[in-house]
Amino acid sequence: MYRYDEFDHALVRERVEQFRGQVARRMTGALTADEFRPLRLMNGLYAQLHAYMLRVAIPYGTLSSRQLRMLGHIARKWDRGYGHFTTRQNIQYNWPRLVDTPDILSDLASVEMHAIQTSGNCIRNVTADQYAGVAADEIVDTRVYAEIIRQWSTFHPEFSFLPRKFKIAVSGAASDDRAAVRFHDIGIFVRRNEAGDIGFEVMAGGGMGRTPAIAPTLHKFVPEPDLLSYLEAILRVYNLLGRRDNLFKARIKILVMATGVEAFTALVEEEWQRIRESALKLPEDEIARIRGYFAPPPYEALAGVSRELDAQLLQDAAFSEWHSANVTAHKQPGYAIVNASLKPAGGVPGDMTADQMDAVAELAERYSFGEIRVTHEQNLVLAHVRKSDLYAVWRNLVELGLATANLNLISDIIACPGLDYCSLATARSIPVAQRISLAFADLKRQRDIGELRLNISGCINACGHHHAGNIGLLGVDKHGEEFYQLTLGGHDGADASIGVIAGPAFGSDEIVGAIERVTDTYLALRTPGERFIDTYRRVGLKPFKERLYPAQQAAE
Amino acid sequence: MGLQVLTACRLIDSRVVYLAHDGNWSEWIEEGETASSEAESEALKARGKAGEAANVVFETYLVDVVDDSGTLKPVSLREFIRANGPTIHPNFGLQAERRKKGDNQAITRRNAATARKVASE
Repeated sequence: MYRYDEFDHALVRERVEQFRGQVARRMTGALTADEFRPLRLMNGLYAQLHAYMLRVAIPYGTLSSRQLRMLGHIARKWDRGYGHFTTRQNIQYNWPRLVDTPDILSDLASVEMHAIQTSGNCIRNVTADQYAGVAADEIVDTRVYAEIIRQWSTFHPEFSFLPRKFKIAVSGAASDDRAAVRFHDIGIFVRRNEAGDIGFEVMAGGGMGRTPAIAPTLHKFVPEPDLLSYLEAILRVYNLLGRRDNLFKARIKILVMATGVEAFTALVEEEWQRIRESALKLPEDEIARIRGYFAPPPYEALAGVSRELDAQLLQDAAFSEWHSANVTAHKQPGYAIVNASLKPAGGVPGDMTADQMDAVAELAERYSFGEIRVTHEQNLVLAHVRKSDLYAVWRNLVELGLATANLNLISDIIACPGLDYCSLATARSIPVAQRISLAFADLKRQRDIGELRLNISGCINACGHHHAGNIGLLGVDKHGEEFYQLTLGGHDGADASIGVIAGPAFGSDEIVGAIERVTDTYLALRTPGERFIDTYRRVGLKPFKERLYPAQQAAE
Repeated sequence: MGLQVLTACRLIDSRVVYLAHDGNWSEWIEEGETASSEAESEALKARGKAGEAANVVFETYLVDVVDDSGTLKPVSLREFIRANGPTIHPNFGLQAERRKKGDNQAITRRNAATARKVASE
């Protein structure tokens, strides 16, 4: 893992003390609410529906056991005993007091964490593939480049007041995309060319919100040393030309659409050529230095097959089901990647108690070299578990309520906090997620339906990624009542697509039934082994629509 | 016009509060001072601005409520959730506490309303 150097430590400590002074001045009234607002937001502190909310950055979703313990400690000491992992691999605390936040930030700084880049119109906390460095299908460890981007972007003076927030995601798998990169302001696929050199396919102008967009590729192979100059060229063009007159048209996606991909790419190219041979050129030894932080842990030389595991899989059906759903191939023989589900039936997607955090930190220490990953799907990962330890890890996770065998199944729901917490929300998300996961609680039924991503947002800002859900739900307010618009066909893989609105929104008490009609339609239409998204792409919206709105179809 | 109370976020913790009869800011909507005319609403707003100026609260605004058998109930779902806490995690501290306390407050409020009614008769 990356470790802070003296410069990093000093930077974060200074920021904490600055904020302590700002909070004190706010309390005496020396700073007004309007003056204080941008200052608190630069430190990740929002004012939400019931209380302040502190959003803590987990750069590219990587945590040490020590850090996760600290997150648990903060939940227990300064909050109400739990935290919420978000779609941006961050954690949010829902109940901190303003006067305590400098101390919370100080606690975070003691484990090399902070809340910088979690709010405001800056380059936000960079996200990445949660299996970086361990996935069997990976080309290059993306954390190296995510960390380089983090260092370049943190407090970048030119990009601290962009027209709007700016999100960058990096993925390094050969054919998969586990970081939804095409839905980001800048998406990056790490590639290797035929000569074996590392480079980057760079996309820009993707996003969710009220204008969802799939990012088009600007450059198919930016050479490794030019990563930062190319990113800086994109940011500079956006910073100069992006709209500042209309909040809803200020994201880079609008600029790319309005300018045209070709013309926008040409502008970036022109700027890039101007700055390419500058201090932004990445020296080979600097890349090597950063790569050193992400050296593989001291794996044991193990056989690829574990007889112990094979026997356990035969003996214990529940373990076997969990293993099929939640365990993924590791590139190191004899090891596996474990996904701990934060989506128990009837649970709150992404929520975790302080006790669970402590316990997972200990599990990671015992079985996974003290390292934990947070996923944009709001689950946790133990990235390096010996196959022969899987059974013990599973039993521990069962005890903790973190072993629901539902990864990528219909109850592995992405949900934003919604109207239960968020001041922007128009409807609740979490109670709907809870009702859906209970309706589909039978894991056999879920497995029969197979891979299906269901995402829920409580407002058009789309923090719950509903546009990218195979089934997406968008909560809307209709004359004071909660309604849910249903979209179909969204997907956030390498072949990303935006969901299409099926028809009129459903009332809160109708929505679970509507989803069951969607899955029933799929089950009747699919060919053997065909995933929901593939069936949808083959048959289109029509048969689903007929089933969802029979009266309307009959009238037509 | 219907009934209104004045709500705000408390500066120290951004908790939802209501301007109470005694001039303090209460976490309990039941203790909120009600306005039933535009003049009364304007008066509440002015007192809210004073609270902002004194750095006790921020973001003061009026909330439409109905008197539901002696309990003040916000009309909108958003304000209902603000007044009662998240609708999830019934066992997690605050929400449970609020529910328990809320029940007691509702009783107190009903008692107070009854007492006022008796006094005016």
